[in-house]
Amino acid sequence: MTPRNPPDTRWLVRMNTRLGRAARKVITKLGRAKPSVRSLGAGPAGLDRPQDPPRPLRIRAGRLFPAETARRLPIVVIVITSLRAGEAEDLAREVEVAQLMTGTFRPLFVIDTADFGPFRRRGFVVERVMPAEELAAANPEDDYGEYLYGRLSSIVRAYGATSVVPVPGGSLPALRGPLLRLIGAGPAILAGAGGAASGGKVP
Amino acid sequence: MAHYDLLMISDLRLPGGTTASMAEEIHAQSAAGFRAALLHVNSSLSVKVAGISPHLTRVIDQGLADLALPGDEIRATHAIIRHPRVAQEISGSFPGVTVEGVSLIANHPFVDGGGVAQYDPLAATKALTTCFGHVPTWRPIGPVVRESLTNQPAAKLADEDWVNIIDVKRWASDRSAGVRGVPVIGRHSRDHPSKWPTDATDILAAYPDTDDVMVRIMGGAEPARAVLGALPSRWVVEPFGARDPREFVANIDFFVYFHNAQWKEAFGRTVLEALASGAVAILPEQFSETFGDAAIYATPADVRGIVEELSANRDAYVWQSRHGSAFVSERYSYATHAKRLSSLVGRDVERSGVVRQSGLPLPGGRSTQYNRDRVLFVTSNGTGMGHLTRLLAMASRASDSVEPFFFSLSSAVPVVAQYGYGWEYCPSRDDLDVSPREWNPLFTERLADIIRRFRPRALAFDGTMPYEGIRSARRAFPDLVFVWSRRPMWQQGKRTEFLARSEWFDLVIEPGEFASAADKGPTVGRTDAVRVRPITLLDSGDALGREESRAALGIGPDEQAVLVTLGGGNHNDVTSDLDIVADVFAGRPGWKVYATQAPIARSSGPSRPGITTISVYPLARYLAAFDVSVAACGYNAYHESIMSGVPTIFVPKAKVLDDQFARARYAADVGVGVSVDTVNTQEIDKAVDRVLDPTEAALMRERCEKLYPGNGAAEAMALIENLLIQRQVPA
Repeated sequence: MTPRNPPDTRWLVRMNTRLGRAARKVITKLGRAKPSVRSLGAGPAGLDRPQDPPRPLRIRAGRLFPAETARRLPIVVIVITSLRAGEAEDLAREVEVAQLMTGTFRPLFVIDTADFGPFRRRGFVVERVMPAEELAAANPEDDYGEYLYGRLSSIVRAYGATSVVPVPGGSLPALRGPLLRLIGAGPAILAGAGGAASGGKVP
Repeated sequence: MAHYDLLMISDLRLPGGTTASMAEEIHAQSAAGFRAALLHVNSSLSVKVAGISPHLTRVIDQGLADLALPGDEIRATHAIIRHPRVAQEISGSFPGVTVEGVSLIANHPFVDGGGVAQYDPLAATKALTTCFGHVPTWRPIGPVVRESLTNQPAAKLADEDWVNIIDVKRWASDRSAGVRGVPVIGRHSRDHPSKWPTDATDILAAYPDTDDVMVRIMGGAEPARAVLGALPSRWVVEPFGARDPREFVANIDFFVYFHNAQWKEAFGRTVLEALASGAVAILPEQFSETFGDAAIYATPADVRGIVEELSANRDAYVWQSRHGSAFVSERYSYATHAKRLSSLVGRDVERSGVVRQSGLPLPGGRSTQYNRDRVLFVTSNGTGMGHLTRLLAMASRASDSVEPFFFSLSSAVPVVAQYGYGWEYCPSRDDLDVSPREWNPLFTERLADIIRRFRPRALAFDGTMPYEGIRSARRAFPDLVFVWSRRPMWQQGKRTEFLARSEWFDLVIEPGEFASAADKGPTVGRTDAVRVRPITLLDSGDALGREESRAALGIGPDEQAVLVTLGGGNHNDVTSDLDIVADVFAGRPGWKVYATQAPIARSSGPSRPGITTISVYPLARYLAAFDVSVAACGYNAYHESIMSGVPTIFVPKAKVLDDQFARARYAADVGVGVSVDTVNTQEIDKAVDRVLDPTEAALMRERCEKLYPGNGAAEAMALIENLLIQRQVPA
């Protein structure tokens, strides 16, 4: 390539960008083969830049919203503590119904039991916190309130959640249908997001 | 109306020493039987929108003090307002609040090093007098503040300083071994320009960027970055509040604190904490009035020489460490606080008048009585439960001096609770269906939090790809012992760059492989691992006999039972393979098919008529119940099958890292099982014929018993414990 004469600054910027891209391609290719090359090229090529702020996790919306665009729906963190036997299944089902009825949110469940199954089967993401007595046994001097708050804050940050809905154990019988559907009332529908069972776009 | 001994007032949002000191006093006074309420007032000291400082939310949550709100009816014997600036900005009054006396804790010098006034003593005194109807007594926290207020007539000074206090017993750490092999210099302060020297030479003299010392900083180092242009690569820098300060100072040898020459440190709470823990403090001369000969006073240029000298002279280091700790114990104890409160409130401390040392917790801490070393077992997820099971096998063979704790990406991790172990979970990248770039920060943050919170002495990871978060943890927690349990038998031609990550670990353990003679993968010939025998959760003697296991699973004594266990249940091909096997057995009258559903399976178990689903863990305990089995060739199922001696058809999978085809073929070659490369009716039918042949089945059982090398789990755990001992960690 021959530079125009005289080279203007825009041309230099373009060349720099092109060369940068080419260099990154080569180093990435070599890096895959040899870790030492990857390490060598990391700085100049801009690979593995730890200073980049982490992006929120674009988690899936659940089995009924498989469309890629559904990953743009707002995330609602549903914190359910002290689940009784069978309540995980009930809650997962009710929330799935609410999600299907509104099409406005991606649920992210935080539980303090080991009942992952009902949520995972529906393609929902589930996180888990230790219940108070378990934390006390593992670390008697730790403060449960601080642990719970810290972990939830971290989850909200990591997933870019828009709201947190605490659901005390035992309250599920009252949390059904139209009332539970309010989970979806807060977040606005993002343009182009959605899906539904067909995987199509929400008009 | 609620009645309290003390009403403690300040801007409760302040994140640093102001609220940390209040929390410490609350612990002390609560242990001595004083009741206190906290009242928040806004001030210009806290410009950020924030809630109450975590130091105080904890003591409130623990019930050590009540949080009062404006308008509450409160009667208190004495009001203690902390920080003169807060006092001067109080406007109006607190209706409903009645106190009998007022103290203003002056925890900040009146003027800074540049002679600039930091608050208005007259305004502060006036505001408190108007608000409470009592003229406050000013109580400076140390000589620096007292001197700055000496000529301020509006500040009626108490005769004695209101010094910061600390529970030395809770902070003390054993220093009898002297300085570590590589001396650790630490500092803990807020990330503010006033807290750092302004000269690059001073910074690098006090906190050298060299290999012969380690520098650990908690509280951030942005001001240093601004001066130096970039942070030295050898420094380990963590943000303010990243971990329990007790743990931080316990892991340094020298507390070196130099700040902006224009700054006047009112007291130096972090110095107090370091001295209490036994770290040797090296400070500018300014601190000598507060800490006397408990610390060493020097310039930044002197730091290196002092560190070298005390590192070479264990007795001198230990003497200085103990002297500092004793000094703090004598002057700044909980008893000091109880005594001064007694005189303010006008009554003796509870019952005997002897202050109980607080048994109440400090944030995130671990009991000093806690004497088992925690090992954090970290497992990746997988198509099955191999990673988790291998670590569980090791953990369950740990000595009594080790406490296992699990952190796993596997949704099957709750099984460890059956063994009495605590656990935490983090969704895997596959579970979230996101890119590594998105997922790595989640894992990194979660792992660091768990290490800070549960403070393990060692981290044992089982997985084929150590994540970036492990490397970050290695840097942030240099005292932690890192172990990689890396199973061999990788397929040829698969990605191998992760093998270089063995550099991140102090020890690499290679769980043995029955089919090691057939291993042609990239781990063969490597010298970075210690090899042990195959690791299984159970020893052969732990499994139930035929009758017991049949009874447990509900299988009749005379039934012909085949077990089909084809992996974690998350692969689409599992169901079709199961159908083929079921079809083949359907053509053989009298046989009943039992299929496993792993705890990690997302979908519900097989619903085909004629197949009974079982979900037990560990499956190996019940294998004797079956006459034959059809098993996947993952590490666990393979080794457990051979250990059990049940005639087995091995069904390898291709889309995994381990070379399951080589495993299966080797089993066939040495006669411990039958191998099927492709699952179709014809192949399975032929294989079934062989395992059902009584002569061949008997030979398989015999060979399994003869050739199986035994369990290496105890060896692996012993390697970890020995490493802890070598690292001078009592295990």
